[in-house]
Amino acid sequence: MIGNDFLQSVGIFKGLDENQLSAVQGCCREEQHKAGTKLFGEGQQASHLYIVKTGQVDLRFDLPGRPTSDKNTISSILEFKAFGWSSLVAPYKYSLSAYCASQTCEVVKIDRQSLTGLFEEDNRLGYLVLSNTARVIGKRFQKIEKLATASPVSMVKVIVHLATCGIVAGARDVMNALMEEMNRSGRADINVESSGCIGQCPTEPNVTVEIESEDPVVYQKMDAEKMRQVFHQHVLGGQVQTDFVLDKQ
Amino acid sequence: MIDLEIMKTVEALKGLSNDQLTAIQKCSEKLEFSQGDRLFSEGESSAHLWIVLAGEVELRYDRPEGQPNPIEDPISFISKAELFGWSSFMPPFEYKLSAYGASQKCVVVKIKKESLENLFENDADMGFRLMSHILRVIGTHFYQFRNGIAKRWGHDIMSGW
Repeated sequence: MIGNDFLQSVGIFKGLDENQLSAVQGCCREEQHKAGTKLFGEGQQASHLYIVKTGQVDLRFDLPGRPTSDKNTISSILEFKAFGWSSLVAPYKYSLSAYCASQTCEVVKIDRQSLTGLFEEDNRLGYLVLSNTARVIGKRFQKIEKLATASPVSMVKVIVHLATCGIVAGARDVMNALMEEMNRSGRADINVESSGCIGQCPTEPNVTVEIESEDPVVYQKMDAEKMRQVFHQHVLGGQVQTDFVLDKQ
Repeated sequence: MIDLEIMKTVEALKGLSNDQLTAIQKCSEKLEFSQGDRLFSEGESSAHLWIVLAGEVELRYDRPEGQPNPIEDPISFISKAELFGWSSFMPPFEYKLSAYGASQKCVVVKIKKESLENLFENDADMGFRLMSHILRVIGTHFYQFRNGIAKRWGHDIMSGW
């Protein structure tokens, strides 16, 4: 069951009071999906607004006659973020397809008609949600703009934490796997560095991925296989591998 | 002073009462430009929302030579009763394109965004109506931009296979 505390943490509902959040809650439904499941397709009627509760959802463009691929990902949506806002904007058609990109993902689905009905009943609620949505779109705009114009050179840094605790836990194997994948990829522009312990010894080996304009992501309990997956999916594909991310708590 | 009857013909302002239009009128300024005149530049702080009353305005990238445009063809022409300067409502609150007078003469209304937001705070009905329209314009531009990127990447993927 979705609570007001969850909705309060979602950017597009910022500023709503308890009563307004409860009203929105009444239009919500939860769903769980497995990796690769298509939540909705490009061009379909945008009947719902979505929020990622756990995991990751990728928004991709589909190519005729081709299977979906990470390479087609335009945006990756993480926890507490909304997507499918085409449901709030005419012509109410999804402009990209959405796929579950983590092992599993939980999403909150908000019925468009019920939500816009709330907007009509409570204009202040409508005004706040639409203003917040404009801000969310603005941030996505910036992100995509950077992706489209930035040179890939020096945009990405991968740090393997090679202190004694890390080495004992297998960080050298992780580094070797990373270097192998680097050589295979031919991406000499990606910066690989080693550094010391980050003070999380029980979670070693740790690897930090820094991509320009994104928050650094620290991975825990890495091994060679996980490193290869992170390299291909996150470093090259831009999709955070949430299953391996260090729990901030 | 902008005539209320003219304001009523503007798509974004349709359905607003005379009192609401009068409030907007008070934070608006009517300006005239000739063909080629620059109204604002890409990257400038976007403190105003604009509406074309007569003539046409061209929006385009205006980057120094050697600096690539994010997408190939963002050029658009804004005609009578249409709204532009929508980046004043989303971060980083900078104009994404430069605006130039595209007809021999164009008449525009420049509305101070800060004053408009104050009005919205006190009149949620007006805020909701106008934000619905502004969001539609933002959405259209975002789709156009994202489709431009997807088209380019899609082409790269297809030709790389």
